[in-house]
Amino acid sequence: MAPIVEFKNISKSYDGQSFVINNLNLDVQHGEFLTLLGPSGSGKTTALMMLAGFEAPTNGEIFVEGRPYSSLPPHKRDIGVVFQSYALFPHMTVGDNIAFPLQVRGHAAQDIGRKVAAALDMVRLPGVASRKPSELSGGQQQRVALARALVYEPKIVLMDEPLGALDRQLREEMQMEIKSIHARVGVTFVYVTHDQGEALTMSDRVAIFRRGVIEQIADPQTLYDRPGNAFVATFIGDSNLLTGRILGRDASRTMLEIPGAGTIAASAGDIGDGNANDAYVAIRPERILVSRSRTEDVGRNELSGTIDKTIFFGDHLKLVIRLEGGQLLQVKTETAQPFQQGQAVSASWSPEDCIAFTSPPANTRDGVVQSLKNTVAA
Amino acid sequence: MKAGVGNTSAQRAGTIALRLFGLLFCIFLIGPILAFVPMSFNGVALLHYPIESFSLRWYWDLFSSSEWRLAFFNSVVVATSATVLATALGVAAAFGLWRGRFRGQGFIMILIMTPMIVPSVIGAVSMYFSFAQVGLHYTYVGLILAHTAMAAPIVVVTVSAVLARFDGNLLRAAASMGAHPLLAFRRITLPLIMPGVVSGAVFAFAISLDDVVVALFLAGPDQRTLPVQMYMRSTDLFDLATAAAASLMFVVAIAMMVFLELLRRRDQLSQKHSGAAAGQ
Ligand SMILES: Nc1ncnc2c1ncn2[C@@H]1O[C@H](COP(=O)(O)OP(=O)(O)OP(=O)(O)O)[C@@H](O)[C@H]1O
Ligand SMILES: [Mg+2]
Repeated sequence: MAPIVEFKNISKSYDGQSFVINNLNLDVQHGEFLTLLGPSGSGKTTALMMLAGFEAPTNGEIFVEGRPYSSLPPHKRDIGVVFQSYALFPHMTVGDNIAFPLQVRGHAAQDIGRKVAAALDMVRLPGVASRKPSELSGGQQQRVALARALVYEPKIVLMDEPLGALDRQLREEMQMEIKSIHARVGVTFVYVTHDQGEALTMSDRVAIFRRGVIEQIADPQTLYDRPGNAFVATFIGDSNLLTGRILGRDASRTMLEIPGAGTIAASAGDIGDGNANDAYVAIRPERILVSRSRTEDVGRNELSGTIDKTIFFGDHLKLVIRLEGGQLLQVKTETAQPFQQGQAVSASWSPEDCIAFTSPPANTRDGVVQSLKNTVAA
Repeated sequence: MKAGVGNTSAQRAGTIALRLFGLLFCIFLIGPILAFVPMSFNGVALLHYPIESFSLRWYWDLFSSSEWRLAFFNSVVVATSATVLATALGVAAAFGLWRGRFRGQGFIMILIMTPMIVPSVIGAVSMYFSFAQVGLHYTYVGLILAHTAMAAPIVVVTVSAVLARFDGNLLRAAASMGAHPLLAFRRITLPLIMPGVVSGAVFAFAISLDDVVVALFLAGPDQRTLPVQMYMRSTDLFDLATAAAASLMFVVAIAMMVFLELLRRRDQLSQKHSGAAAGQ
């Protein structure tokens, strides 16, 4: 089936000088839960607002169901929006809020009553129809906003950090709620967040935004296991990033030297047949095994170091290992592991579990390579 | 008031001085008006105390004289029309300025405010000459338009003040649900900015009712408003009907102030309410 939304070469500039969205191409499939994830200021809200019709693209065209949408005013788009600030009409009751889109569309009065009740049931808030929004808690208000955006069955529902104002427990509850509502109604959801955990648990696909471009778009598992570049590797979940030199490469493997520590094999990330020599190697902390002495397993990468820190997290232990040569490696282990600070250890992992990239993870324009996950804040 | 316990005598003296000052200030402000009001009940046409005999004859004069009746009528017609026009224009201007994102917004704001800043006699003279050019002087339309221009700025001010607290996402939400901008304005914006609209309208009404300078220039004998009539009468043959008219206007003014205060309290109450909810 053709995608329901297509961003075609979309660029957006607010000031006429710098582009907030840069030549964006993005397809949204019918019925999917797509999340736009990225750091603050990366253009997620801007992309969403252009789809809703509140901002006009500077260049390019947005198609919805094959129709060009750029010149269509927001009230003719049939796209529901849920805002972080809920945007419930404070002078109307909850029932009137949810009835509003139906009244605007000229539904019959008895239909409206029935649909409002059904919508409130869906978000598990029966019996609050006669209350004012200000008499509800934040989580309840967000449910009402969700009910209001879904009650008229729009083609697409957009949500811009809808859970940003809620505390953690409520947020996790609402994540499940939204996910299950999506599964039930089958409407296309486009969701914006800068919480990567939220993106991974809720989405069918996640688009990683950085500085107005999409770095990678994939399902959560792929993003986690096969990040397309070093930025995605460090942005999604925790990742170690070792710097090294490329010794040689073949179709699938890259041999690298980690200065002072030894050589390792890694699967190739964005390493083409370019002639760059410096590379970044991403390894997930939970994929590394730590032992007192070297395993000498030829199928695995193995580097030696000493325990620099142990940090207790309740359900797991984080070890920080200073490798020979000085680079730091974080390892997630069980709490029972009896390691002491200063102890000599060996860290090993499978070549499949580490990926080598040549393009740096973050802003190198200022000459700063932020291998942020490689150093632990003391 | 626990704070009062343990006050030093110096502090107490300060408090008393402050209260005394406040009292004197109030007397200074409204004393002349309060002194004038009882005279309208004097049976004799004398502008001094003591009042010789209590009588309602001046009020009776007011209602039986066709001249005064016309003045009442004119004031009500002109003030009501100017209020309606000024409110409509002021709300539109304030909303446009709030919504728009364009250059020269500050300049437009200043332009709108000029009638409020320019001394009224300058406004009156210039309006007199320009209205005379197009034959609008000595007409109701001319006077109403002049008062509209004078009253619109205050509506812009009061409506802008409530719009500053208005969440623009409400209109985006309404649009996403399919509401035409006009419908969204009527169903969402207008009810929420109503306190500002109403207080702007009350002020606009007061400005029109209060004006004597512009009306002196622009009103012909048929358009004389109450203040003009009072002014005319107190400069030629003086009788206490003017005092009676002044007392009535005073009552109207107080009624408007009370109304505004009630409005403010209600608004504050609802604000407190939603504020408490947002904090949950
Ligand atoms: N209305 C606007 N006028 C001018 N610049 C804007 C406007 N809205 C956003 N920007 C700028 O565009 C860039 C992208 O903003 P946007 O709101 O799309 O980011 P975001 O990814 O949603 O970030 P966040 O996670 O902080 O919400 C930012 O640099 C921001 O300053
Ligand atoms: Mg945003």
